[in-house]
Amino acid sequence: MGASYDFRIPRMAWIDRSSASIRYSFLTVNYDDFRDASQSLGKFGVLPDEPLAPGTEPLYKLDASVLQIFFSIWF
Amino acid sequence: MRARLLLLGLSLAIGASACSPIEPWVKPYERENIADPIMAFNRDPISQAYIDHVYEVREAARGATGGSGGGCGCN
Amino acid sequence: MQTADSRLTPFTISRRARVGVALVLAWSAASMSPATVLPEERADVMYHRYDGGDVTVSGPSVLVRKNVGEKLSIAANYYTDFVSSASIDVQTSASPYDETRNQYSLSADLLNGKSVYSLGYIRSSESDYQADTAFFGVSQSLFGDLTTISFGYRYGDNDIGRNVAGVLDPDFNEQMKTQGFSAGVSQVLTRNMILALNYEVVTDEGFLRSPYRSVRYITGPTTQALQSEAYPRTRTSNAAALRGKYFLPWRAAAELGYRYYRDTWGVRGHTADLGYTHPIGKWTLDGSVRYYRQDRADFYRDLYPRRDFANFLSRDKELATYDNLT
Repeated sequence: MGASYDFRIPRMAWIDRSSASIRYSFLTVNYDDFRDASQSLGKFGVLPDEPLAPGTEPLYKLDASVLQIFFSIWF
Repeated sequence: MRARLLLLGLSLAIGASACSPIEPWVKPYERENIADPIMAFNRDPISQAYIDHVYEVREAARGATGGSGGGCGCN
Repeated sequence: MQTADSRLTPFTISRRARVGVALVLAWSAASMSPATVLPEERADVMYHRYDGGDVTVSGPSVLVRKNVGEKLSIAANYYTDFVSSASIDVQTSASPYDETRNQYSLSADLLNGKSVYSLGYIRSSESDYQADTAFFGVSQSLFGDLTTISFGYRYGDNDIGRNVAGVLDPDFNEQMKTQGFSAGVSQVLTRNMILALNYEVVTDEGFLRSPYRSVRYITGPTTQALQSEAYPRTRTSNAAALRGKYFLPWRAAAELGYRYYRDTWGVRGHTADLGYTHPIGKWTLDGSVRYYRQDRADFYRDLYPRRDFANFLSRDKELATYDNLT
């Protein structure tokens, strides 16, 4: 989702129009056949306390946020 | 594959230009709505290029976005 | 070639794990805008930030588009990604890393009657990857400007290196070439509706795997080991997309899109999205949802039954089966 706001900059006649915008998205990726191997191989060389057997780790899932903030001028 | 496409494209273009002029069914004075900036497929190119890039590096699918993207496959 | 065969510990594989995805850029103006006008003159400054899966990517982007005379429009873009990654791939086979990618592009659009000719160049640089891409395109409006057709071609040269303990490995240098051909039609259907159909075929040739990533295979009931990925040296993909946009009576716009994707590695992908734009006074509000679903590449496995199980081996999650909801 996003919002843009149009405004005028005083004393800058060469700019026809300006706007400020912000956009935010949230994405969720669900893998069907990619497992969280850190639960068996460990993280950065450190093994987990109770390593799972390969192939029994939970499926991996990724949540991410994406932010854009931008200013635009038309001339 | 590409050659076949090129041929298809060329024949379409030639076919199109060989036709007798078609009367535009949406008259120029009826295009006010179509010309509204909110009807642009790519209203803010800087934002579209970025979001295409975000998906491009995380999904196998590519192409036919009609906009621009960039290319680092950072995990 | 890398031999990254480590038995759980000791832990000696590369510092980084990342894919070298081909640089992809399409002709900015050609595909979807009316052909008989040049794109509008504007300048944008952006800050962008992605945060997810123990990866953050942020940075600026600046885009300036200016006319030179009445027939020529020039656009320049500077874009940076500051990457800080401790992603799941990096966790299992490397150490966290930081990387900077810079991208510069320059393009020109020339208006000639009912046609616009586009030409451009892009350079993307990282410490271990450089991509140079040149593209050109032409679009032409027909039938009283109700129809616009466009064609484009691009060629990309990718120079791939490998960092070992933060230093570029002098013995590792690989190449990859990308070519893409696109065609599009956009059509004003009614006074309130416009449709666009785009098609693109892309072929990669050369080094396509990651120099860092490993696959894993079973060595016993509770044990596993890693070995280097092995990829085909070519990949060709086809994508077709249909987009429609509808003007609503209270001055708002609804957009609907669908794309089908398939490639020679067996990946099939579907993308569907829906958007709504609503201006209120000086504000313009946007909302959208997007759903992406893909089936894995033929040779992708999360876990192989044994070492050297097949000619081609991959554990790139980008080639797995998954869906993405935005």
